[in-house]
Amino acid sequence: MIGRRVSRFSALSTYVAALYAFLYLPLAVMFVFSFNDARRNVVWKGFTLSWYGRLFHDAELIGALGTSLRLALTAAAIASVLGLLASYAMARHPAFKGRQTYNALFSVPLMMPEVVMGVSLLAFFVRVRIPLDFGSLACAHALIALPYTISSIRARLLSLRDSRLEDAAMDLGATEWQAFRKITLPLAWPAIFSGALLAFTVSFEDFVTTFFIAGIGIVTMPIKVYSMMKFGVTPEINALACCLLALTMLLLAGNRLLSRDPAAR
Amino acid sequence: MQPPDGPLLSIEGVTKSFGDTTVLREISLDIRKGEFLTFLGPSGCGKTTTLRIIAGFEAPDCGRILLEGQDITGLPPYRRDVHTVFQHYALFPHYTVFNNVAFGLRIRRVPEAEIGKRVREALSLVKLSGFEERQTTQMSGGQMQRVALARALIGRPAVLLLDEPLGALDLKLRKEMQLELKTLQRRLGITFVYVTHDQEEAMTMSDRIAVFNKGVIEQLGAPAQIYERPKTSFVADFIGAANVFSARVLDAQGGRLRLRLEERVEFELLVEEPSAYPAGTIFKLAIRPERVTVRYREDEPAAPGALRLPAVLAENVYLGNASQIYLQPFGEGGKTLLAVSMDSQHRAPRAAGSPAWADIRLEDILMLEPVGQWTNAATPAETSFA
Repeated sequence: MIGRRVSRFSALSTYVAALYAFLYLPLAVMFVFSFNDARRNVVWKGFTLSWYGRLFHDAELIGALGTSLRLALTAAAIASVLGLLASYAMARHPAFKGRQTYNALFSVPLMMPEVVMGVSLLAFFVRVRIPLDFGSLACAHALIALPYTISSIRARLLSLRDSRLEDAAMDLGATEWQAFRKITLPLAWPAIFSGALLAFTVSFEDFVTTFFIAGIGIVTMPIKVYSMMKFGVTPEINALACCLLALTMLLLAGNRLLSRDPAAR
Repeated sequence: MQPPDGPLLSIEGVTKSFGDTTVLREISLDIRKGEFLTFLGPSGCGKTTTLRIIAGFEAPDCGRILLEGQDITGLPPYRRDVHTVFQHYALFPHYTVFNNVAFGLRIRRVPEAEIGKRVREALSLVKLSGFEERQTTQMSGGQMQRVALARALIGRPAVLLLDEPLGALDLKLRKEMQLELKTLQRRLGITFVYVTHDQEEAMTMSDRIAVFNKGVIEQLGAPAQIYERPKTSFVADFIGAANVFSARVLDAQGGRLRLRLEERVEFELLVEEPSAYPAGTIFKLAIRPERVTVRYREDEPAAPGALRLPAVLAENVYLGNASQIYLQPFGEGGKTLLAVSMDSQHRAPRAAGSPAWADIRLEDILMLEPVGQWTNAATPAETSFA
C-alpha cells in the first residue's frame, strides 16, 4: 500500500516538475547565460557581470528605456482616467439601455488580434492625418490597456455601489461630486492604482501594435530588443531580458498587493 | 403655508414602475409630526421603494411628495431634510466612528468645536461614548447599527427613515434595539418612518402601521386597530394568525346579516353598514385563533350569543405556553379551524377524531373583502348538506 502511494506520488511530482521545467527552464537558461563570459551563447566560459555593466553604458538602450517608461506612464494615466469614468457610468446607472453592449465593447481590444489592431490604428492615423508621434502612440497604448483598468476599477465600484455608500453620503447632504470625492474615490483608489500598474505593464511590453504605428525615431524597449536580435542573441540581450523580467514581476506583485480585498487586510 | 396641524409629510398618488413591473400604484399617505409610522409588508410589496422615493433615491413616475407643505418631489437627496438609516448600515469604512457621525455636519461646514460637542452628544444618545476613534470595520452589527443611527440623527432631520435597520441582528439584540429605538424616538420627538417585514417588530414600536401588499396600502391604522379590525384577508393573515373562511350573504335586514359560512353553517351577524353587504355576495371573514374556545362536552354552556360550531378534533399540539388545537368544523376535506388556548385542559393529548365544539363570539367574527357572487352551480354542498 505504502509503496504504491509513494510511486503514485512520485509520478505526480515528476509530472509537475516537468511542467514547471517546461515553463521556467528557458527563463533559467536566459538568466544563467546573462552571466556567461563569452560573446556566443553556446558554451559556458565563466562568470561575469560585464553584460549588465554594458547595458547601462549603451546610450541607445537607455534612450529606448526612457521612451518606454514615459510612454507607459502616459498610457497608464490616460487608461486609468478613462477607465474610472467608464466604470463610474456602469456603476451609477446599472439599468441603462445598451449596457451589455457598452460593457462588451470595452473588452474588444482584449480579444482583437494585435496585428489587426496595429493595422487598423495605422490606417486610421494616416487617413485622418494624425502624425505618428509619441502622442498618437500613447493613445494607442491607452486603448490596449483600457480593458485592464476597467476590469479592475469596475469590480470595486460595483461593490461600493452595492454597499450604498454614495447614497448614504448624499442622504447626509453631500452633492454627487462631494460623495464621489470623499467616499468613492478614496475607497476605489487601490483598484485604480492596481489597474494603472497593469496598464503600465501592458504598454511597456507591447511590441506588435507599436511596431506598426511607431513613427521614425520612436524606439521603445521591445523594438530596440528586436533590432538587437537581428545580429543574434547575445548575452547582452539576456541581461536586458532579465532586467525587464524583474521589473514586470515587481509591477505584478504590486498589482496583487493592491487588488487584495481591503477588508481582509 | 400649511396649517399648523397639517401632516408633516404627504405622499400623494405616487406610482412607480421598474421596466414592466409596477411596484407602487397610486400610494397616498399622510405622516403626522412626531409619530412612529411603520411600512409593513412582505418583500417586493413596495415599502422600501416608497422609502427611497421619500429619501430622493428614486423618482416617482407620477404623484408628489410634500414635506412641511413644500413639494420636494424633484429635489435631490442632499437637499431634503430627511436622513436614512440603511439596511446594511452603509458606514464609511475608511472613516472612524467620529468621522462617520460627523460627516453630515462637516458637509454643512459646521464649526469643528460644535461638531465635536454634537458628535459626543449623539454617541452618548446611542450609548457609544468612548468609541469615537474606533474603526467601524472592527465593530459588531449592533454597534454599527448604533453608529448609523447617530450619524443620521445628528443632523436633526424632520423625518428619519429606517430601512429594516434591525434585519441583520440576531433575535435577542433585535428585541433590545426595538425598545431602545422606541424610547429614543419618544425622547427626541423626531418623526420615524420605519420599514420592516416583521409584524411583531411593527406591533412593538409603531404608533401607526401602513400594511403594504403588491404596491398598494391595504390598511393604515394603529396596531390594535389593524389587529382587531383588519379590512382584508391579507392584513388579517399577515398580522398575527387568522382563520380565513368565506361566507355568503343570504339576506340583510335592518343591520342584521344572515350568512352561510363555508356553505355549511348559517348564522346571523350584526353589522354597522348592512348596505355594504348585498345578498348573494360571498365575503371573506376571519377569526383569530385565540378567540376560539374549544369545548369537548356539548353540555358546557357557550357565552351568550356565541356561534357554536360542532367539529371533529384533527390535532392537538402542546407548545408550552399555549396549545394549538386544529378542528374540522366543515367536515372531512373542509377547511380546518385553528384555536390557540392557554387553558390547562388542552395539555393532555387527546385522540384525533374525538368530537369537539368551537365557540366563537359574534363580535370576534371579522368581515373582510368580497370575493365574488354566488352562483348556484358552484356549490354542490348546498344540496348535500342538510
